Amino acid sequence: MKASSNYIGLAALSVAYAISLLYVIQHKVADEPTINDDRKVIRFGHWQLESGIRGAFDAVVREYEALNPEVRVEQLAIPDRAYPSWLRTQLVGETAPDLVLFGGVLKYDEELLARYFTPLTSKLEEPNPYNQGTDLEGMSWRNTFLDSLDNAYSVGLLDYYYAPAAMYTIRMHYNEQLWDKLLGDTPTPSDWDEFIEINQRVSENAYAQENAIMPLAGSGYNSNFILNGAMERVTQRLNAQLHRAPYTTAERSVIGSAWLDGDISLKHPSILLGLREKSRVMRFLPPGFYQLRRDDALFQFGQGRSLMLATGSWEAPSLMATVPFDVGVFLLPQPDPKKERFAAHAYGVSSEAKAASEAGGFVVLRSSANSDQAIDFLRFLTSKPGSSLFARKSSWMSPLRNIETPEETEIYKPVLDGYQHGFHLYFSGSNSRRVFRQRVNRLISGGAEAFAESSSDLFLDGVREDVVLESRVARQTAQRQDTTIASLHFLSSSSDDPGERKRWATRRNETMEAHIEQSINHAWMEETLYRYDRKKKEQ
Amino acid sequence: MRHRYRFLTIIGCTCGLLLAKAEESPSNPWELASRMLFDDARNAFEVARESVPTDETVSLGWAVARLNEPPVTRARIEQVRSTLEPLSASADATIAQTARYLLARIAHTRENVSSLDEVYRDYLEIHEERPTSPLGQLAGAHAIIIDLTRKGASQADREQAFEHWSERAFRFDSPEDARHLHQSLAKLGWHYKIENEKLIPHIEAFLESGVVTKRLRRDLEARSAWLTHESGDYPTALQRYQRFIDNNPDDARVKIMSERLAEVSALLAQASRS
Repeated sequence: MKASSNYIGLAALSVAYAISLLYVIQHKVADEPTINDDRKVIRFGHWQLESGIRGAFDAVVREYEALNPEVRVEQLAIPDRAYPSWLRTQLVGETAPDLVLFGGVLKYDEELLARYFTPLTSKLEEPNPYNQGTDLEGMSWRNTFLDSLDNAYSVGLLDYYYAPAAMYTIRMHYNEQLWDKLLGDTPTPSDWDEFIEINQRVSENAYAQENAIMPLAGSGYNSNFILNGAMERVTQRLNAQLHRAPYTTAERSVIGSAWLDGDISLKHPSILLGLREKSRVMRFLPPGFYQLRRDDALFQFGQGRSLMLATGSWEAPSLMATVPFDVGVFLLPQPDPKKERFAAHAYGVSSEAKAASEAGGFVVLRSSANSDQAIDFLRFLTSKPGSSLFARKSSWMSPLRNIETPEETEIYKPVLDGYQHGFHLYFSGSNSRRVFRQRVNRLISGGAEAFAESSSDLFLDGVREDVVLESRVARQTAQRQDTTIASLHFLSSSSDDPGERKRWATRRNETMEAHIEQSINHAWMEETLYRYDRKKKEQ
Repeated sequence: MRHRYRFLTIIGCTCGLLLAKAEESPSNPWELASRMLFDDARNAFEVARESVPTDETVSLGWAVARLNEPPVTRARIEQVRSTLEPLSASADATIAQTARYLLARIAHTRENVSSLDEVYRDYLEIHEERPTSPLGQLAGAHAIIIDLTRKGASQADREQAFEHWSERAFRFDSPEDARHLHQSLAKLGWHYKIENEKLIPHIEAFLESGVVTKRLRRDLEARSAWLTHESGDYPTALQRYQRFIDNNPDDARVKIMSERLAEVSALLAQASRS
């Protein structure tokens, strides 16, 4: 009996093995060019599994292959949760695709960029040949992007590494039928107070009608677009005051040190106002929303169990294609500085001018056997003809200048005529976020003042840990730059060619500038920590 | 694939080093090191060292690459230090200065020193020997950082240190000769809330010396305009707001800078009427 069951097990195992083998061979054959196909193969990897995106990439690929018959382009779409580990495995195993989508779910990592990818700086300064005959002809590839990729520059590596295929903004989406049913002909809100009022009405209606419709679909992911957004708007003036000028982006070291120095606290008028606004909105989100995932929020909204969903333009085509109702879109409501309670805190609507740079983009594998061809494909994808085609097929926005936006994406166009935003509550890092999330119930149940009163010390402990971490990162970055500076110094002083000497000297000076910034940040944060700890000991 | 590149790298860099020239080719080990490809650079220098074991340039390159090659351990840092120490007495001024500078950096950021006074003196010495050279300036910047961020110092102590270094920075004929001193003073003075009248000249001198990093330049132009406005020097503030808008038309701050410019213009118009 025992022997026969062993044989059955062995046979089952052999069959499973044979099926797996067959499956692998089939895939291997499918992945290989056909016998007569001696075209060069370019592969690009991404995590954009949203509806219509793979099809849009395919359309661009077909167009490119028609122009370049000697090339075959393949796309690899990997789920976002698996993407970072998949990519690292591929890189280490030397099997990574020629082009890789960087940013978004893949945390920005300079060492990864430096080790595995090739800088695009010099290529980006040349015109994109695929723009010939368009109004972008002759313009450097970099300048064809809406913000000239100003914020895509790696300060640590002194190079540009990626070119974006799309750009995104965050908007509020709503169920039009449900809106009509619950709110009649009420227009979409034009500012924060109207938004709160609408939420209130939907909430009261749900209570009166005993239905379970929430005003807002929420998850830890989506809720931040509204909650952090509210705080970022009411700290616009405070942010400029702390940086003693409006700054490109708030500096973590400045904000963290301001907390420790007592320049800001949970009881600061702007922070307290932000907390009040946050707590007002939290009541309109599903219970336990911080524990819910992005998919849960989409599911709530898709099932008609909530009226509105804040999410990015990347989600819009999928959303509209899958939900059984019409979806309306409006700008995220923002505090109006003309209203008395916001006047001293907010400047006005936040600018989205950095949307193209912040979208992330495709990087080129350093060890690619066909890196020139991969760059050529990237040029096509981000040229006026390629990008227009991609935008049309995907309903995503093109990051290029002078591209007509399809009517359905008009509402997603970045706001360029706006102000710098401020900072959100746990901008200093993950430790203050952890403390905030652990105590968020006190904010919901007790309100902003009670939360501030009971959480200040713990929150500061979290900020302190964030500053320690930030200081360590600054020190490590400055240490790594020691090698870069010494190497560039040698290169700039040893070349016989004056042009080369100048080029290396410019890169050296730029690294020195970044190095001094990091060194000062580190020293200043260490001194702030010393003062904070001493003050705490004395208390 | 990777081995093929490594092989080419080794061949290329060995030839390059034998010719003692900094080639632009990516196989140049100094360029590999500048791009943070620490182990590739160190391997290339090791191959070169086998051919020319006494070459100081190769030894320096090896130490430069090894300094940050992961995993960075105490033993490796010790190895680097023992390589750099004899080089710090080299007859070649660039090699000697680079080695001394890196030794100071090791003591400053990679060792648990009880007091930074000795490191401060090392930086100061490197700076004073060749104050306008790039590494001389950088050493000066680190001396300023240590001086102004001393733990336990009072605001008066910091202001005094700022005055001292400010006077030294303006002693040079051109801002370019003290660009990194101005940069350090502009940033630290801002952190420690040194009064605007003393701070702004350093921001302006640094801008005049030619700030390479675009983002840094934009932020400094914004800050200079803002602080000049705060100081009440409206005619200059007007120029500086305009400079920001002209130089950075796509920047997200153009709207607020334009509003501030209009505010200053109105104030000036009002003053000229009265």
